[in-house]
Amino acid sequence: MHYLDLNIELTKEDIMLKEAAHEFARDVMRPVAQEMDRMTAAETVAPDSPFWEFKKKAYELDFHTILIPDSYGGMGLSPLQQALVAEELAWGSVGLLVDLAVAAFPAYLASLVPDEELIDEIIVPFCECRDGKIAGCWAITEPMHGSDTITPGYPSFHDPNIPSDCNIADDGDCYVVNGQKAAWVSGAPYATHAALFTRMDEGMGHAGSGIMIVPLDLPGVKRGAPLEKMGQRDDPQGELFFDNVRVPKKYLIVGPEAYEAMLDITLSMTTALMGMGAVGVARAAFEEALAYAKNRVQGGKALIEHQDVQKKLFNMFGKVELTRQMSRAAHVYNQNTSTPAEEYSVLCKVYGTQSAFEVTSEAIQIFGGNGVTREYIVEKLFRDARAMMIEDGANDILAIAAGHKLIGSYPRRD
Amino acid sequence: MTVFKDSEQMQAMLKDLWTHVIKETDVGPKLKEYDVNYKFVINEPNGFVYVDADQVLTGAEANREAVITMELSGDTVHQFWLKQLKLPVALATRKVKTKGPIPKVLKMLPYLKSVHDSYPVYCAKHGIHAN
Ligand SMILES: Cc1cc2nc3c(=O)[nH]c(=O)nc-3n(C[C@H](O)[C@H](O)[C@H](O)COP(=O)(O)OP(=O)(O)OC[C@H]3O[C@@H](n4cnc5c(N)ncnc54)[C@H](O)[C@@H]3O)c2cc1C
Repeated sequence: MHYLDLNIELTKEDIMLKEAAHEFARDVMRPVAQEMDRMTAAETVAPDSPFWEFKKKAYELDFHTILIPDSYGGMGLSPLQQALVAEELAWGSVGLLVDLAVAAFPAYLASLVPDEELIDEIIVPFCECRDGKIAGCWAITEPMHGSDTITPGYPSFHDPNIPSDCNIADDGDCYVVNGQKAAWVSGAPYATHAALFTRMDEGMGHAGSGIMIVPLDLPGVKRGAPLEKMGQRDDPQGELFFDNVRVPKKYLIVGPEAYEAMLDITLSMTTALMGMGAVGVARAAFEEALAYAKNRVQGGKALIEHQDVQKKLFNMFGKVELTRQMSRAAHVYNQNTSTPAEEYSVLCKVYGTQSAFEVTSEAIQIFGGNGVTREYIVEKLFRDARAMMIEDGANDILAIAAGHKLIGSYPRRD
Repeated sequence: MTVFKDSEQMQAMLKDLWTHVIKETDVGPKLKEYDVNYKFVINEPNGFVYVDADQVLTGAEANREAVITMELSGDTVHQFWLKQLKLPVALATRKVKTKGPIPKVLKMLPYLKSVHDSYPVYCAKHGIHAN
């Protein structure tokens, strides 16, 4: 279903891009996502899974490179175009959108360092890949440290007494990685590369971490079983184990000297993207509820004719629109400065995913009993939205850390 | 002690370097193709350098609107072009502050290799120690 775009400055190219993304979301992502939702986690990554067909088609259309500059063969989208595409893809499936986004993480990080070897080994092959076989993942969460790893600027982030489950040690010509990342790493069951965010300097707490690209075919890397979970079952996840994995030094993107600020920069992008994902999920639920309310008759008239349902739908519509405006504005702003105002991105994630949760829940209410059956997509959207409130940082802790930051950063000058 | 003796030396050297780069390498055509121009706002010593596909300006006339503005110190200019400072580290530690679309900043990066390559040569030409 099309929606009125309040941005009157969209170019023809923007609109074509949005429509192409929507077609792909409708014709490829939705059906594959619904199929994967009913499979076991192991089946979703088995050779005959429809997931691989999705990956192939997404890569053929370049949707894996929405974050990568065109000078490397990526799509080279403007920040606004990234927002337009992300919303449409999330409308099709937020789990599959996350898969595509994390797939690009190593290449995106490498694009910040124009090192010829990284360009040739990481970025160009990823952009040129057409069968979906080259894919990254973002490995930050640890079994014993979830929120601990995702709160730059918060006092506990610097606490040397809070240990880490995964460490990088300097060993002359190489770095050596030992430890484990949690089963939450999206894409880990099949990724070829990890963007590893992990501890390097024990004395600095989690702030003493580094960002390193790790090819996952190196000796000593093992993967856990795909994770069974409630929502986003179409985003296969699993653990990564590192046993004396020797990684050439050229793969280090930043070390402890700049890690905390780099994590801030990363989160200001990912949390705004989560806001756009939330718009897609909420819009999908709103559209389903609106269509259903027009057809279902109770009390002698269609549900839509009952005032209470009209009000519910208006509130749902409002949450979709507000999240869209907020997320686009924050993403465009933060992608136009190297000193991002990350609290605005966090607002998109926290407000947006909470709204998506409420909208999908209201959609179920409008569907009545049908809403909790597997026959209708709203129950999947509800489960997917619920997972988003924890994904990329639990909303409560993101809000605490951003609130802490506001003490010093408000009012922002740049 | 800063690397550059004064603003004049720094601006003259950067003008010379960038003029070579936009005229003799693929940087000029790429700036045109991607519709990118830069303003460097430099402190210690203070100076402005403006670069587009056709010209390099310095001093007050370089202080004009640009697609990408980069604010940094003279020593950071030096470290960055000598590859002693990686961009993500420079951005994260705020040694370099950029304004303008980050995707445009990133897409020009692979073409700036010729600036890195030529930098030591122009340092030598202008009597600046390249280390
Ligand atoms: C669908 C999905 C996809 C994900 N994808 C990835 C991925 O690709 N890569 C990756 O590395 N990780 C991924 N994650 C992991 C995610 O980032 C973590 O789950 C998240 O950071 C929370 O960590 P945790 O689960 O360990 O919860 P915990 O840190 O144990 O927190 C649980 C709760 O405790 C409370 N709490 C925690 N700390 C504090 C505090 N300091 N003060 C007050 N209250 C606190 C909060 O209420 C919080 O919700 C994903 C998660 C999900 C659900």
